[in-house]
Amino acid sequence: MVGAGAWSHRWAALLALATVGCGGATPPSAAPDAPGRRWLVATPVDLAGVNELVSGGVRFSQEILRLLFLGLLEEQPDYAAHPPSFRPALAESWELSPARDALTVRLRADARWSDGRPITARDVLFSHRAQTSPEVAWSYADSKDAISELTALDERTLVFRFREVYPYQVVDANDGLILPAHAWEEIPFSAWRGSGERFRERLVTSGPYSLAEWIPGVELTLAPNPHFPAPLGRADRAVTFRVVPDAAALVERLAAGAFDFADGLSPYDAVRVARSPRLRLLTTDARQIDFVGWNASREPFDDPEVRRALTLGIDRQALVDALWQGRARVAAGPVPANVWARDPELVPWPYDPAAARTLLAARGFADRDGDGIVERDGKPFRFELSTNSENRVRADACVLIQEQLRRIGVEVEIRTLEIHALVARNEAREFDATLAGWSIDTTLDFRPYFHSSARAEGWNWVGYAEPEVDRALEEARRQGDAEATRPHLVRLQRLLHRDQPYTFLWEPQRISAARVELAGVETTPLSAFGTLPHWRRTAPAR
Amino acid sequence: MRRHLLSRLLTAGVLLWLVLTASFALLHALPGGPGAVVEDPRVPPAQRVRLRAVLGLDRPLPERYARFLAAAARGDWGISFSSQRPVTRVLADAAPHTLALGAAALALEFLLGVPLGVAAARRAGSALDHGVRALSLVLWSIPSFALALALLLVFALEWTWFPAGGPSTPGAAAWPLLPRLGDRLAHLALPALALGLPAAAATARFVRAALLEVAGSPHLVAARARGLHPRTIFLRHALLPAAGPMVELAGLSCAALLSGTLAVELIFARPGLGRAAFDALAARDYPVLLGATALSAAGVLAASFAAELLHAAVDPRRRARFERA
Amino acid sequence: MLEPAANRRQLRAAAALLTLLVVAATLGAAAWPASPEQTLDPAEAALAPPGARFATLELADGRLLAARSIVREATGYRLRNRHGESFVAADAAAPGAAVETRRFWLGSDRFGRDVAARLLHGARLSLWVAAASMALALGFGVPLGLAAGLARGAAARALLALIEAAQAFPRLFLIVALAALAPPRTATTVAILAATGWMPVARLVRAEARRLSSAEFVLAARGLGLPPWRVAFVHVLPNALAPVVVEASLGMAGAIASEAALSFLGLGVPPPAASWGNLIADGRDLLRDAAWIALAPAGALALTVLACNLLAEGLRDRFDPRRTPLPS
Repeated sequence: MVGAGAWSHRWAALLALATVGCGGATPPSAAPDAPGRRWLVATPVDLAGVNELVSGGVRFSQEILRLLFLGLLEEQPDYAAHPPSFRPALAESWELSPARDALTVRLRADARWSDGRPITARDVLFSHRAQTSPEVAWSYADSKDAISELTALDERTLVFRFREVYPYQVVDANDGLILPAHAWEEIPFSAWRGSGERFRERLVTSGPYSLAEWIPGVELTLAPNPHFPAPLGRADRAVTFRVVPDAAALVERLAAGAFDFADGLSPYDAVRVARSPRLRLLTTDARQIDFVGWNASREPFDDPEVRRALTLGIDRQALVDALWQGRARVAAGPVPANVWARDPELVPWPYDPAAARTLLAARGFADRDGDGIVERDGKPFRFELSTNSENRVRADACVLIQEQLRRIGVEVEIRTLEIHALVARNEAREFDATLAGWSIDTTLDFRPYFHSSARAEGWNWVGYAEPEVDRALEEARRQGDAEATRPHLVRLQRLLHRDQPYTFLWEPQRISAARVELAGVETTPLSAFGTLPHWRRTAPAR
Repeated sequence: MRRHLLSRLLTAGVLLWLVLTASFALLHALPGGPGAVVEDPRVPPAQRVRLRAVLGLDRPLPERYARFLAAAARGDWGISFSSQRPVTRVLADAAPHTLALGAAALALEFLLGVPLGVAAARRAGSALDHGVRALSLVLWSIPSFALALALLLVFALEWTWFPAGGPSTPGAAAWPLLPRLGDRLAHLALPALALGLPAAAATARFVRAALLEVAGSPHLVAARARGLHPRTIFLRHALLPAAGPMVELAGLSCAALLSGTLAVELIFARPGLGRAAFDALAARDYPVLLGATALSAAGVLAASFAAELLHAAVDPRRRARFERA
Repeated sequence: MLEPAANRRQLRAAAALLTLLVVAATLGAAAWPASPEQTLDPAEAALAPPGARFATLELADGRLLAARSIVREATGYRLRNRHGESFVAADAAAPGAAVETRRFWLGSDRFGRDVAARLLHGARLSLWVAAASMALALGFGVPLGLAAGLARGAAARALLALIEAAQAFPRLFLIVALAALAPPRTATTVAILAATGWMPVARLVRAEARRLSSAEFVLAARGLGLPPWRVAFVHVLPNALAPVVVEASLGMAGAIASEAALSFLGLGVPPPAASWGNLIADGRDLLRDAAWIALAPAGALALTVLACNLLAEGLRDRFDPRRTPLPS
């Protein structure tokens, strides 16, 4: 591991002596592991901004913000048997009224901002105002639509009032981090979208870390927040995130021992990491599902039997084996296998090319001219499969799918596009088939994906409209709590399995790598860095 | 002379405006709106419409163009969509890294290329000459991204002579001046080599060819006949005439280097204008993209203008043509 | 500058090398037995080193199995592969299937595709892209340069401004913007390379045209009242051709390298098409495990660029040793 001063001293010496000559072949000595030496984490992307309401940003950015700020409650990754439960964070207790029209929240007494000021109802009210402000235009403001008002009963007690009863009331009330009123109130909402620097200057945090230094595009250093409540687990040392945009260089440097941890690795990187004796792999569910979406407004994808034939003709297990080397599961529907609402009897369609061919023949497809491609009414079965070029795994999957479908007589043309171009095309319904993915929310509110109304307003790009599915989704929404939505979600899965508007491909794992001597690291589907304060070194570095 | 200078400046201004307008038009022809909002699948289309309105992206194109030009003339290049910081700050953070890299590569190019080219020309036909020509041919033919990869693997990862990426060691900002400078230089070495070596190779070949061309010319023969010292002949009669084209080469190199830093910046994880523009394009961060385009174009124009001036200063024939044109 | 004999040798060597490359690319790609796109049992045949040999067996469902050895037994086939031994029943195999051998002369990539086949097809594609884009660049740059050089007054200044503005325009932005605008096809890459490569041609032609516009034969042609286009293309262009040819060779070299860089950044010819840039990008993260995947195309690339550069230099010295056009 390169010592912190090794480079500069060697080169400064050269400068001072004005000696021209190669910098010697002596490798720098490994740094002694001083206790309290900061953690070094590699990341391919940078923090987008310190204010989550305006900076958007990818998963990494959101997870870092959760190290800086707390929400009212903290969602637990225990959604295997039941809907996720919550642990107190800023709130020490909460209670939903029997009529389910009001949620009362009581804040911790020992909650402090990093400048020592107490966190009170004023901050929660401020955050709510900002979240719902049309001038701020927070991307997820619609989660607060059902909240008619938020009032403070005293400095530490607040009440959310709801317009309607639905399963996700607590989740929606909890959505969004609590922001510092005393620090950021002065900036008018209309100026929020230009005040990135001001937010940074006046930053105070409530989480286990505060922001020590941020060189945009290069590195980000978090330092322990001394005012973080001790019972919640204080951090004992700083952590620096280094931005390394080139994935292959990141993995090489990781394997060479330059970093303690890295997240967001691709399965190809995982192979490289698995071979390094210095590193160990950590995997957890990614809460993601990749699929091929068939555009139901185009022939022949409007026919569920044809779609099922295509599913039968794609060897999803082979895809998982070739691309993910066992670090993914074949998906059977939009609910991942270890999530509470999964239909226990649901099994993915098998790979059965013979059955696929039979099914296509039954729908009128046959190879009449002997070129290996089936036709119907004179038109050969040829379509374009699009995906985003940035994702190597998906692009490679297209290649394998192309070959698999060729075996059942269907010809695929692959088109890789930049992500924005792809999304624009998909939204305009200008595609035959698209290989894409979703990040699955633990609330499992599938209306924006499968409801017929979502064709105009949501992500139902494929144009799926099935009245029974609409009914199941609407029924689920009318329930009082998430657990009661289970039977409706099971019904949804069965209908999707029958109709195959999507061919669900795989549920990947989230892959991280840590140095072997790093203990206390636990990656969960909700965060790779959640346990940062608890990381420990078990043996000194070599 | 002054009138000519002014007219050149005016031309540069017109060119810059042309580049900006073309960028603006091209940018808005791209599919997909501001990326940060589009990328996240959780954001419903209705929200996106709202956000577009807040960012002023729903106004008609000519109006946005006029506003943009007016603001740019004032020095206000807008706020980055991705980071909510002023574009001028974003670019001011990135530009020094690109300038440092470009300067280092340029220095390498001339400090290596010129002496080698001169040496090869003076000993034309010798083993040294053949060696220089062969080596420079090979180096010239390797694309800089491939060279960058090779350098990274061999000199940073396999043999840890140099750091493997970044502009500096984590936490180096707190060090005293000299170690900090040394650290930055260490991190600059490999990227500068990746960019500078192919350029040095081309320069060596060019210098050699230019000198050899001059070698047979009458005035050189006459100088030799007059019995002048070989070094005087070389410096005043051979090198000086070749200096003019070399200056122009420097200008072109500047431009090429400035625009060719992206792959190296990506591979060595360095911030810079190339990366800022690339990231901005990926995120459809219009303000940063337009600002980076303007800065880059201005840099190229300035470099070629400076080269032209220098060339005129060095070469009287060019000066006359310069004044006449 | 070389003496005539050495110059002739260099030109001959460069020409020979380039011819070899073109022939290898076109004929080799067509004649090579393996296909660049067909995958072979990734679980077994991926990342095989150069010279590796596999036995293959076609299954009833269309899949192709690969193994170190496949032995026909009474009831089926015994396979010996990476993971050990396995058995395939006779009826699981395709009717009439026989055990065949496949040899990977340059190894295989992540999906068991033949690297040598991809290299040859990639050569064909990369050379075609470079040549087509160069032709386009010339087709656009030469007339524009002629016009800019022979015109007078405002028209000449406007054309020069156009060329200079295009040259000052950041290449990267243009490339990425065009790549996002147009469907990612080979034609798009050709267009992108041409759009970023016509400016040096135009400048060069303009400089030549200006130089020649005061020559006697041009003045005579003009004096005779010949139409401008005729003066340009019949009288000026043939005399300006020499530097253009040199520039074209240099441009080819640049186009080949640029295509590789574009594909490396993910903006070039889309996968699964094999181009040298794609191959290098594919092999990039495998440099430790399977270096041949990236090294073979990189070496071929360097060789081709080298040949083009040599040709350009040789041509330049041959046509007019006095002129020293700047390398682009």
